[in-house]
Amino acid sequence: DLLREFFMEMRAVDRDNEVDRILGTFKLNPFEQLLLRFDAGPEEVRRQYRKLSLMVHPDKCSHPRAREAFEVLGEAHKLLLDGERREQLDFALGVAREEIRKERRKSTKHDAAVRVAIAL
Amino acid sequence: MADYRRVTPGRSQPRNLFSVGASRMRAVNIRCEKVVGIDLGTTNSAVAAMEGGKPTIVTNAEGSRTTPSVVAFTKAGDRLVGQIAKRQGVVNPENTFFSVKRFIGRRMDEVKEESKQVPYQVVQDPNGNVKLDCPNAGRQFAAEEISAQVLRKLIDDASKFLNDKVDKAVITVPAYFNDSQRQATKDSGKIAGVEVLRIINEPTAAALAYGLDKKANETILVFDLGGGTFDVSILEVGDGVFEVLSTSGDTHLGGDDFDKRIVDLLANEFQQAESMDLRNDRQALQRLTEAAEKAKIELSTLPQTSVNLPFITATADGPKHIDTNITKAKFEDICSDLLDRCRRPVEQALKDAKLSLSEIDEVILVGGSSRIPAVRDLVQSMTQKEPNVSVNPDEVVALGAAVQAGVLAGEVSDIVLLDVTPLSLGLETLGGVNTKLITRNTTLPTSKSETFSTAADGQTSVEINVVQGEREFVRDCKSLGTFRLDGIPPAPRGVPQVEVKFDIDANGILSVTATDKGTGRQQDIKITGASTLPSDEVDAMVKEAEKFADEDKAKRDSVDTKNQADSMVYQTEKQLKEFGEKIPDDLKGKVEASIKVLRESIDKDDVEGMKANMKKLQEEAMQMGAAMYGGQGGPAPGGPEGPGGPGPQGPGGADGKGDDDDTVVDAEFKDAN
Repeated sequence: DLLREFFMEMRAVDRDNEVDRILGTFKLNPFEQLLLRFDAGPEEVRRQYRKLSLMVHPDKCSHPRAREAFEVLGEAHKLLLDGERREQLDFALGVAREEIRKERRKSTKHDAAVRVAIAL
Repeated sequence: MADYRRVTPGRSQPRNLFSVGASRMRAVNIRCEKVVGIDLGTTNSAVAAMEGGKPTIVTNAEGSRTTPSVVAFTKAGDRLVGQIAKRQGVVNPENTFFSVKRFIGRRMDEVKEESKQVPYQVVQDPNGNVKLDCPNAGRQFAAEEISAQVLRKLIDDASKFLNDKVDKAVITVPAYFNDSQRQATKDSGKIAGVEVLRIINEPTAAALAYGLDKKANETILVFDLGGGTFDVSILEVGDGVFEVLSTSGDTHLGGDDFDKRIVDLLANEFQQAESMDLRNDRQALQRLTEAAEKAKIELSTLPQTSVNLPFITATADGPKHIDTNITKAKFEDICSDLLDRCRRPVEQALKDAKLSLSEIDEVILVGGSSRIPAVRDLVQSMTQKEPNVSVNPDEVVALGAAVQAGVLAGEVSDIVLLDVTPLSLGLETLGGVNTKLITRNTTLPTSKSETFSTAADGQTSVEINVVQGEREFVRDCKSLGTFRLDGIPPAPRGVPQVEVKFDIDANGILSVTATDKGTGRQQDIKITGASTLPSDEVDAMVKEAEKFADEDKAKRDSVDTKNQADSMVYQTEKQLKEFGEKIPDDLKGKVEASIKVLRESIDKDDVEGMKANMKKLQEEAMQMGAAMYGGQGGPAPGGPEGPGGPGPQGPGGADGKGDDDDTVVDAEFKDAN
């Protein structure tokens, strides 16, 4: 029983940390909020949402800002499961990725070492 | 050295945690009060508690697993709750309140239909809210107060059953209840003196109880047709998370409506035959309603049932009776439109959850009315699935509430309930349009902020009408009240910016806060026109309920004392009669005088007098006993039986002995003389 108490205590600490992590993420990045890869599918989103809800839902977690964190999760989950908005997000991500590639190509245009690496 | 240092912090940390854990555990051990789950139904209520990790139904003082949600006030001013209240409903229809849940948190104009169906008087208070008139108590009650009486009984019985103090509870409401109805239910808890930890939705509670030990992921549809309300919820259950996807329902549809149809059928038949409307006679109506409920229940198992109501009324020709048969087909025929009304919410819920019927894994039937075969057939034909009947439709909601109580108390881990708001929340904007702020089926808790400004130069207050409902225009929705922001500093129009935050908590209850963006100051908000009780009125009712409870206790005390005094008089008199000869005359006179005095105080209902006189009589009765045994013990040295005789014999044995040994004892007595 003592051991159970100990683990419960540990879990409470984990919960608090998770709340802090969620509240610390960039607010427009649902992937980071849900701790997911950018290519996560709907099933993964659902599972991760459930897992994190179980941790930070105000009924389970006594952190004073647990509710805020839970609302952040809810928003992220809704966004990623909304087909249209998810498409927009993926499109924006694709554009951003292209942008960075272009930038990098430009900056490494005259770098012989990189060119050799690409050629190889 | 360096190694050593590195190890210590690592080790000390868990040790610290450990000690915290230990101290927390001590706190856990001290905590002993239980949290119960209460299904506060329209017609019947039930209580459950977590026992050894499993939810269990708590039986009431009468030993039943459900308690009728009926409160009655007798002519003598006694309050009756539950089965006893229901039983005397026929003879006291104006003062017997049932189906009160239909009126809770409502305005009079919303319940015009219902108020005509009940035999008690439903009146409108100056604010347009519903009040129930009680001639025997000589006052009007809010529906909250009546519900509080039911809650109080349930809690009292539960604490007796669990042998533990109960002052916290999770109470269920129909999922389709709006903010006012939820708030009103919470207020009833407060009036009853319990802390309402959470208001949860009935279908969700049912799903919690059903899915507690299911491990697999499932999508379930809960079809909850209760006494007065109808709810449909679709949930996804998996990994310990109970996520409500959508909710729909009808708060004016339930078993009572089916009863009403049978009542109408019987009354119409009677009217045709006797040209007399039984519905105008409150007592006849009450008897008809009870008979209708019985007939409905019987038709769930039988193809035909008889209704037999002798002496239902009397005309100039003499007494009139009802003796007729109702077939199942006839019943289904007169209720066909009610059955049809069950379809729309199911379709709506599926649409909102963006699911098709084939994606539903399980259909659960909840609520007593789901026992009606026609309802089962309807569900089966709609969903193409055999409905799950593994749960008891009357008890499962209370069990689920107990599970949620366990979650909130920390007894149940690894389960979380994600419920939704059943109705959209909006504001009235130009032209009476409902501008939705929080759409229905949003996971709770949730909040939304909106910035308001003034429309005229120097305006210092803004009024916001908050509405709940799906319709386009405010007049078709339920107004939760008008929130007034005061104290805006005078400025040109459009300049002041007031941020209003609408916050729906896990109970589904709205709270509104406002801050002035310019000054950062919290704004005052006044709510007017809400159909719930203002908080000061609730506080007054809490005090009154406490007073009532004290009065009840005093009353019970006096009844107990009276009974005791009565039986004491009887016993002493019996003793006097039986052993009169053995008692000295002076003592006999004294005892008789005391009995007389005690009798008088019983007749006067004087509790203090009874207590004092009882004490006096008791002392004298003791002397009497001593004299009796003394008279016997006197010749003891002479008679061999003397010392052994009286000692081990109890008062019970003395009676038996009196018969056969009478003459012998007499002889001894004479000997002594």
